[in-house]
Amino acid sequence: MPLTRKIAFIDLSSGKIRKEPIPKQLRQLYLGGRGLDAYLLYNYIKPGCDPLAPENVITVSGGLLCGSVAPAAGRCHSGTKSPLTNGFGSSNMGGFFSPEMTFAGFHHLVFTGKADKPVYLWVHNGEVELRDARHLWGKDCFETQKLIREELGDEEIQVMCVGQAAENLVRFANVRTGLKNTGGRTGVGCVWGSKNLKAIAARGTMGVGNKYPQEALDYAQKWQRQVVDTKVAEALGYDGTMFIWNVTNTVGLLRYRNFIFNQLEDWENLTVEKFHEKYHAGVVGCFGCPIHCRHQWRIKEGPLAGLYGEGPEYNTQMCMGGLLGITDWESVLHGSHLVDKYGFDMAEFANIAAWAFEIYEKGIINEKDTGGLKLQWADAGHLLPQLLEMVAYRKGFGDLLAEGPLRALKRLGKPEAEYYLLHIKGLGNMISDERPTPALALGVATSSRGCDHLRSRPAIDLLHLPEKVLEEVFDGGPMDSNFTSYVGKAKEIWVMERVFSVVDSIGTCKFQTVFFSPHMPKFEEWAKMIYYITGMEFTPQELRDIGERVYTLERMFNYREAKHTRKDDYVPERYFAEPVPGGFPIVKGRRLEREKFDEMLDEYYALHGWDKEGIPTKETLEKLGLSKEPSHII
Amino acid sequence: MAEEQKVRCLNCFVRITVPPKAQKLTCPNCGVEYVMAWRGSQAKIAGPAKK
Repeated sequence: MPLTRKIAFIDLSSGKIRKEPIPKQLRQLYLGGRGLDAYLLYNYIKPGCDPLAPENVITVSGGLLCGSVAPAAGRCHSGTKSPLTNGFGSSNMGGFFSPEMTFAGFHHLVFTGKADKPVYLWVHNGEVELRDARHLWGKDCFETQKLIREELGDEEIQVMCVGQAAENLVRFANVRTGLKNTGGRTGVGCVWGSKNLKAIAARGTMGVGNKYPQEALDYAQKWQRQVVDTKVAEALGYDGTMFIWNVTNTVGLLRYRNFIFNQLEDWENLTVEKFHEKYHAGVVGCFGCPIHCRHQWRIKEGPLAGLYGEGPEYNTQMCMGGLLGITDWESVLHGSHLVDKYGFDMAEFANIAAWAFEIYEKGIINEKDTGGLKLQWADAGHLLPQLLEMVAYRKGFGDLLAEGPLRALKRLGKPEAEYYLLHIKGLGNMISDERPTPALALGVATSSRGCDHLRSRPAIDLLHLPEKVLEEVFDGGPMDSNFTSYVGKAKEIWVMERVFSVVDSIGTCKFQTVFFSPHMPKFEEWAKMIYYITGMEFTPQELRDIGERVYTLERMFNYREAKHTRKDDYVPERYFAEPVPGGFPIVKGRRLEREKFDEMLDEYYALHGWDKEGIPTKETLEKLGLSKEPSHII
Repeated sequence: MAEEQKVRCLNCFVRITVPPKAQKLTCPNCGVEYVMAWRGSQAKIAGPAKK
């Protein structure tokens, strides 16, 4: 049963390792995965520490249902204090790593201190040991995984690791497993690098089991059918996440060339249809997933012939493409390959590189600032591989970009450049233009890990669903089907925060939630699945309360560590100042209205039980059982 | 006989019937124009028509 999985505390400074059962009380309060990680980080991080100091902490975890028969229960979470935002660092990835860690006997790993030389952790059938990784330092993410498998003599070993970017303390370095599974956001990999932690290898044969095996299997089958019968599962299975691009580029909801336009020029060259014609080589899925949304690709001819990888995603199309004004597939795929190899967040890179191109175009920086690089949009495809390498190794101008938004801006010392740099709480904006979509704008503005869509995005807000359907999904009205409206949008975000907090804590995939379809599993289904697999009883409302607890604890972390309050819950000024320049009539000319945005923010805080500054009230903390944190239950 | 294909207009949200193998489509309600793609017999919107 998943409840038998343990937590291991690894002190990298002393090399001491402590293994403990996970108290049931913590399971009841936080489930596992991201939720329990939030508890561990709040309790174990020394308040006010430098994110790159030994006092920072790294967690790696699987969710409560990880490795079980629940569909797509293979998500993995890694958390820390972010070197980009100083707030809650949190990244989440698919693949097979956390199920293997579960089969090896562990659901949570907690790293403290700093190793005096590079190390990797070997987790296998109840055992945990630190091993020398000096021979792996300097190796990329692909080679590191291969070498560890060879060294330990087992092809079935799953490895999570960092690449050169983390070793060089690129602040948006990430952690990776497999060809492309990425714990991408908030610079978690940079903290691994600061602690000399190169990798974790896991292999286990300790079955998970279920409390009620037949019921669990039957219910998993029912859940699978529910998922694969949706239209979105069909679209994901065929086009992957790129199916979204056809919609958002058509309407005009994307960032092209930083924030200069909202649709791609020459978009015909970067369609999923073009990808299918020339580069598609297969599809794969993550652990236990019935959808299989991931492409495999291969370049068959030309100078890059033989290059292969997994993806691309919608995010890849834009981060290695549209955001930088690049609209040819081979540049995008090559860029994606290099990001996977060096190990950093392509979203953060794209945002800060696109900013550099725009301020170069505007004459705010010149070749003296860039070390001779001519950052002209027309050359972006040609410059991309060079820029990626410069960031990974912190060479020349890449050293400035590697600092991430807040620190790069400060180091550049040109205040006039600030307006063009899009970030929230120090985390770069991603690929969407949220000016016409108040719900999506509020979501990224208030996200507990800085600008990001995977904390709360109600993508179904874009589908113009009947208000009655929206009321069912979002626990009552009033709701408005129109995505440009401000009505009901604060509630959408509040509900989705709870949805995503819970699925990140049970360790299933967000694509099997109401993220994209109202017909996907919800709290009722999760409560039943948890019961059949673990025997733990939760009502749907109790799960909602857990989601609220997790989100509020992350909010408390951000207030304690980074003093984030209402002032940090706004989208960048350009969202209010500049109307959307193009796209369909429904979006063209729109910009966010500050007064209405403030009203949404007030409504959002009230739903959470936070005060006007966005700080959880004493009553809210007591209601959620958070008033005595840090409580050190473990 | 192939099923009649419909897509929803991304601007005004009315359902539009797509003629077989159509490469372009105009919304009869709001007039926005689309480039279409086909996955077998299934129509999908590929992008906005260029003016």
